[in-house]
Amino acid sequence: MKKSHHALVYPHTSHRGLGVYRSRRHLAATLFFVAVPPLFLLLFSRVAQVAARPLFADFMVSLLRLAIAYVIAAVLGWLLAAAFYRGRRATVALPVFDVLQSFPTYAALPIATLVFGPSNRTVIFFLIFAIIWPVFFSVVSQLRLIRRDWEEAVAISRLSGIAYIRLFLLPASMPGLITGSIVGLGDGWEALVATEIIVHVPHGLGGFFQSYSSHTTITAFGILGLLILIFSINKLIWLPLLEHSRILYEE
Amino acid sequence: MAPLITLRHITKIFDEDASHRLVSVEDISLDIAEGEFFIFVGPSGCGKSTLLRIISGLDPKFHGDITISGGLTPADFGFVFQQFALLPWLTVAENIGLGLTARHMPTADAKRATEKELRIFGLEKFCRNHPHELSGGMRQRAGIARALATEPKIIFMDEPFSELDSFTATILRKEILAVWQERKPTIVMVTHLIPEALELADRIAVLTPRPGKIEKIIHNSLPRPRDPRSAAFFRLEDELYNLIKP
Repeated sequence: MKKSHHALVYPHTSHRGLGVYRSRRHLAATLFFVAVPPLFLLLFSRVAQVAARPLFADFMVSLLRLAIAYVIAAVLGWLLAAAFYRGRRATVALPVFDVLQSFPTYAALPIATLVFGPSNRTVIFFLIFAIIWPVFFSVVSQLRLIRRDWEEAVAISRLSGIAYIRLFLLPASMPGLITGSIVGLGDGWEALVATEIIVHVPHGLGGFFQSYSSHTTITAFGILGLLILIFSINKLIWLPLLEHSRILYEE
Repeated sequence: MAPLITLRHITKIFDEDASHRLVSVEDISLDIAEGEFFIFVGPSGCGKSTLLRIISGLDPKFHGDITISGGLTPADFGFVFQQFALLPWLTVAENIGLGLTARHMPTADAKRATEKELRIFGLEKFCRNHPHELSGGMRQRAGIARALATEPKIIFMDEPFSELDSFTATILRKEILAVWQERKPTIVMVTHLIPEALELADRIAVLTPRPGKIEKIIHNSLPRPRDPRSAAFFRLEDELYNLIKP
């Protein structure tokens, strides 16, 4: 595991807060990753001669769908993992979840469209299934690393209810929740565009990609833009969070 | 005086499947008095840690009876772990205050109680640090402080000094004795080190190799503070060494 320099430079400070952004170089890199996706979007709209505003609006609609689906999937996935990570329940439930996970989610898409119509709900419903499994399995494997004496210490302290979740279960699952989120959101982006195209939902990046599908250069640049965005989000949000939680998990 | 802890015919069998039936401890019956410093010694694998978990309520699956008198409940127990068992994502102060948070103690009172333990164990400087930034000795001090913060009537200790270097262990043994003499809890401890048991305990139960049964209970009436170089100490040490079968 990579040891953070932070722990060496500030041995007597807490790792809470925004310590990871403390150096000037890091700040510059952060600003760079914030600036690159919008700049790319602007440049792209110029080169491809697409109006920047509708493109940006499409992009925001897609991002919002993904964000809503992610929040629901993360909460549900975490709760499922917390309920089934060990004991007799796990031996029964985990193989079942494993089978469910391997079920091709796209097969459920026509049914979802039939139920909800070509709407936001269909896309979000579908995205939840794309995101929830990586989150679930990643949190389960993290929770299985909980040491027996931690559990015993928590039992002796008589921690229960909300405090048990806030002080024990949630932090114990954090590295897994973050890794699961990175993988899940990766899958989510992929599923998002495809779903928007298949469902024919109004607005969103799917519509954009579909209308330019014959124009290889624009499509390629669009994909490049998405990759830049995902990379930026990972660099800005997920990797610092992961590093932070790993430091806290270190013994 | 009526005993505080009464064990009758405690037997623990691990039987994950029918073909692997393992008797860990067998037919343990004894009494522990209030305020007593009681230690189980025995070779490794004799089930002494298992026994401690049974008495402390951490392991509810066993045969036999345990009675704790004086109206005490598991909320009156503290536990010191061999490998400290501090939660790595909490600061030292948060770890020590864990039981107080769980008991919904008002924040100001919890802060005062935590600060008291931090002071006693010399941890004030480290209160905002996380466990991984501390040395082993400091971590176990935090572990002991956490066990004491809730003012427990019974403290269980599972080989609390075995992960520490001998110098640190010597100092921590003295600190534990001071705490015991000042706050007068009942201490039930497990160790595999005979000199350590002789330095600390009022009575020592020697367990046999698996399945763990009571070989003998030794009364240790050496005057405190105990001199580990005295003839009486060596005599008892020899007696214990002869009792313990590897």
